[in-house]
Amino acid sequence: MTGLGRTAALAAVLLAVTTGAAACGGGGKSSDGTFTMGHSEPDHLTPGNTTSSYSFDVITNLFDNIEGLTKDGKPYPLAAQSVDTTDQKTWTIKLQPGRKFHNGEPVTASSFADAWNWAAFGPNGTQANEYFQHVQGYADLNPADTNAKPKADKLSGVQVVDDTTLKITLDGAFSQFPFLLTYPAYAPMPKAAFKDMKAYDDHPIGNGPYEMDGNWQHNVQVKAKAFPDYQGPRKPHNKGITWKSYASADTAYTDLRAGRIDVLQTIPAAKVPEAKRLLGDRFIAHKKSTIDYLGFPLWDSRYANPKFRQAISMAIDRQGINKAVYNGDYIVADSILPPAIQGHRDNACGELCTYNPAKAKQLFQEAGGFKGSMELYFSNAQPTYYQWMQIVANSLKQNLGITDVQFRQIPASDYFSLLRKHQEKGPYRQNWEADYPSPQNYLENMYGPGNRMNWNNKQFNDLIVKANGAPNQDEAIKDYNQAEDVALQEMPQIPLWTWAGQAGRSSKVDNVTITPYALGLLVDEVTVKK
Amino acid sequence: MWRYALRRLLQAVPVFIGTTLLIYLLVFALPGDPIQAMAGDKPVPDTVLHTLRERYNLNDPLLEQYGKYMWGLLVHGDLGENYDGQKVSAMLGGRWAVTAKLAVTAWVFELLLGITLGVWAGLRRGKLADTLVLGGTTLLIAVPVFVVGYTAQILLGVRWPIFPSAGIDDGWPYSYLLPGMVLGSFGLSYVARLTRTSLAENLRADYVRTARAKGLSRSRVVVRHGLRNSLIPVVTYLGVDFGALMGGAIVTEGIFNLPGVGQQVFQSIQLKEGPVVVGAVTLLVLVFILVNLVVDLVYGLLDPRIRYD
Amino acid sequence: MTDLQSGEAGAAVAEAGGLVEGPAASLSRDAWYDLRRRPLFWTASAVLLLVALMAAVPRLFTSRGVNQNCDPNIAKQGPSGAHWFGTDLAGCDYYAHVVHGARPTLLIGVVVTLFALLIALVFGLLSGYYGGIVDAVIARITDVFFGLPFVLGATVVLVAFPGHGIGAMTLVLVLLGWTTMVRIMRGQVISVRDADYVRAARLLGASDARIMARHVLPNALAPVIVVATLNVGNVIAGEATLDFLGVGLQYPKVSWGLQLNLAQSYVVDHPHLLVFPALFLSATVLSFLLLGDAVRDALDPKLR
Repeated sequence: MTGLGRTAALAAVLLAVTTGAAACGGGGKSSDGTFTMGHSEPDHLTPGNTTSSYSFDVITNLFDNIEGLTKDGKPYPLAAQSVDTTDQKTWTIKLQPGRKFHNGEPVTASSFADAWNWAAFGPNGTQANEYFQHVQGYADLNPADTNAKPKADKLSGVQVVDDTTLKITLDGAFSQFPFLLTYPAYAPMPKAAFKDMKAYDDHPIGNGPYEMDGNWQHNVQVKAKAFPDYQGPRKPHNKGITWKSYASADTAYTDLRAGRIDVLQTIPAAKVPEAKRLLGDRFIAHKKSTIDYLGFPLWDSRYANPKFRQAISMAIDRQGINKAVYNGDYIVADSILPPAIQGHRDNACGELCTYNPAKAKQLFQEAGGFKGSMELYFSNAQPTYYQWMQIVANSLKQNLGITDVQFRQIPASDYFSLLRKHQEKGPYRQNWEADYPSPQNYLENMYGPGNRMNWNNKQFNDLIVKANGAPNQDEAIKDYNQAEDVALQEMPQIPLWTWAGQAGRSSKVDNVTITPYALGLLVDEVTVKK
Repeated sequence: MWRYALRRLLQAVPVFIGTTLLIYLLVFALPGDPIQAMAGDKPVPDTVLHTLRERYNLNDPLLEQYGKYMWGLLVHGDLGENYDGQKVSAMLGGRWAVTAKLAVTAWVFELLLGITLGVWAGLRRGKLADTLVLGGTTLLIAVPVFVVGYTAQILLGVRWPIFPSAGIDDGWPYSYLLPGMVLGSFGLSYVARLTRTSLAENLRADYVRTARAKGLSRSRVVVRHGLRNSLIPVVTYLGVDFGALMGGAIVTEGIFNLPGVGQQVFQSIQLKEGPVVVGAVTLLVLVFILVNLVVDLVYGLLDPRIRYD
Repeated sequence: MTDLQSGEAGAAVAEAGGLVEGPAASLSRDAWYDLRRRPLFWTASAVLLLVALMAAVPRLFTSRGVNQNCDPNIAKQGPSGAHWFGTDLAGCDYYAHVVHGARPTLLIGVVVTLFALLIALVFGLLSGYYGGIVDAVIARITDVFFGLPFVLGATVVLVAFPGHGIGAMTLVLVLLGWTTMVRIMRGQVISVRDADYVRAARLLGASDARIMARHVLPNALAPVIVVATLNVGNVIAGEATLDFLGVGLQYPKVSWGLQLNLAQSYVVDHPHLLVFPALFLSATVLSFLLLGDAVRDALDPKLR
């Protein structure tokens, strides 16, 4: 062999060795009773400082709120014995006695009060700050003038009566308060938390069925194990869970297929047909409470006529988009509320949400047509937004004859601040995922005073106030539905479709239930095969 | 030599300042609100916005911000915090190792296979081997890296799972082989073509003819005279390319879910996390400049014809 | 990203190794004779002609306009008699869109290269001819832009301006892609600067501008033109990469990179979405590379 031949051969051998060695890698680990879930990296793990559903994946299992949610979305006392009111304004909460945090500290009324005061205090700059606005005294902690010093650092409406009793006063009647209490920001925090909030964020100590197993490894994973002293109703059926962070849903799905993770809540829409085929009964279709809308900037006179907005609604082939982009799995919207929310009525929207190009064209002309360029706004958070917007744009061209339709795809980071500042010049994508499963959460937040569309309807606002003060849930829902009808006729925002939950599991785990609420996966119920 | 090294080092200073300033201005002067970005879909009260803006000096003039930043970096080695309050150095810490491992894998792949193929083709100019190598490498250059990446992942990671499809669970080198090959495929083509051309040229040079005439064996001539001189441009390229490979293989890291620097920076750009972008890019630029410097110096050691003055 | 940068650097190095030092005249001449006999060269020219024709007069190939007669109910269908390349995600005819995709792709590739070439000629000429301070300043500016990672730099700019179209894309690609050619131009000018005919012209009292325009430029141009041809391919690949990452062109524009971006998640079930644009894109880039090789061998007077 020549000298050169040897060099080349050596290189070839080296390559063969490395690939050969590679083939021996991988292989399954023996089960230790824990399982792994894939999701995106959370932003924070301190309950009052996040509104991210990926954070909720973790913290709803580390903490027990005063109220929990049943599988069908009704509140029940979790850390509390009872939650009572007579006027929907003042609420008396009796806590379960003898409950403990993971560090052994007792869970008392002030554990809740301290946590809420911290979260609601403006200068702390927490993400969930605004969720406390219904509590009396919120304004004193968050002055309108941003340079002013807040008048108080404690919510006057939160009163610690004794170790196990809290008295809450709201700024008005709010029948949905028990729902709000299920929201993760309302979790308690131990005294130990306030010594070093930063360290706490990496290692939150809660009162829930799971406790942290080591610190949060940013961009890698969060590990939790069953809390041995847990006394609540959510006793874990497994030994622990790891939430692994993925930057791309596609990759997370690839890892689910390869058995590297056991549960994935959201399989990318494009991969769903393949996943159904490959996973068989391990593909889990579940309900979601997320619904997409197309909102209008009503301050632009071109969009001011309700007929025009109805025309656009009827020019969009929701079912066609559903088929093309979502494999027909999504539920086309027939109401402002998704089916998983109490108060949803089938076909509440009726003709106005049904594809009808001829009627759309007629309404469009009656409304005086459209001049100039129509810009469609959406963020780059999901590739599917672009895909369905494309079809919407084509429909507007074909069915209504709007020739100049442009895309404004905004980075996810800037999208909401742009909407906040009312800088959009055309219809925009809006979506809503239930913070808590009440129709009020959809209607008042999206259509109530100060909404993004600049829509202001007295009849609607009055109905919401009436519902918020209703003595029982049935009456409240009746009033919410009336308000919904007003909003549907005026169509300041077009409901498009409700998302379908498309999850998958590995053969290692079973009893995987995913709720449509902030709770998501019921971690405690998952069983792991030995 | 030392004077040359010193001069090159001094030249690197304005380049470093220029590049970092440029990226700093790009990142911070452009529109977008990092604080709102963190909140996502939910509204943020004005008090909160204000508090956070103050906390991260977002109200200072840009040049002052840049000055403060560079001072912190160069004097204290501090890369700052992102808007979540995480240390940028901690965020990037583990990621450098991933990116470096990926770059090294790609680089070794380029080097071994590239030179092997190049020599093979160079020795058999005009023959089938030559055509195969030329055609194959041109094709690899022409097909966009993301097409190569997806195809490789689907074929070798999913359909015939020879390699892990994604992630770094199997550690180095197993997890990095496939992404490394994808990332290195481009450079591989250049290395192979360079080696081939260079070797073929050198084999026709006078000194090789002389060596042959002296009666040395073909293999000895090829290795001692032909190959050694042919590798000079190849080494230069490999040197420069290492910096470029480190420079963030966003696409490759994205396809294979490797939690490297490129992926982090791409996300951070979308989130307007200026400190992270600037921190990572500054370090990348530093690596790039240093590697170039080293290559320049090594070049002279390899090729006695080059003098530093 | 690195893949593109290394491409440019690679082209530059290939030049430096094979041509600028170029003692091997006979080799390259052989190569040229070789090449002329190769069908590949003619194939490349034919492909480029076809693509240029698509870009210039898409109506020759399809009667459908961009985003016309689309129906989401027939989305993602495979190739058939009615739709030769199948349909895309929005239920539009894929063949028509692939045809229309040629224009922005080719336009950006060529325009960016022309601007970059212009910058390279000016900077390279000044830098190489005058040397000294001018050279040092230009060299440092070049280094600054050269050191900026391509995709990262482009992403930062493009993400900030969501409404960008072909113009902005061109600007960004020029801004980040002019450096390689400057370096080569500078090298060429230096090698020509002290040639006898330049000295003669100077002794005869010709002005600097005249010398540069009449003597230096024509003699230094060839290798830069070669790199420019190769560069068109690189720019096209770079533009596609940005589209692919979702920060490039967007609706109602149609481009191959954009099509690949939208196809990426459907590769397994609907391979035709990936195959057709990838084929056209790769064939175009490949043709520019092959053509660049050919031009290199044909143009350089020193090698003849």
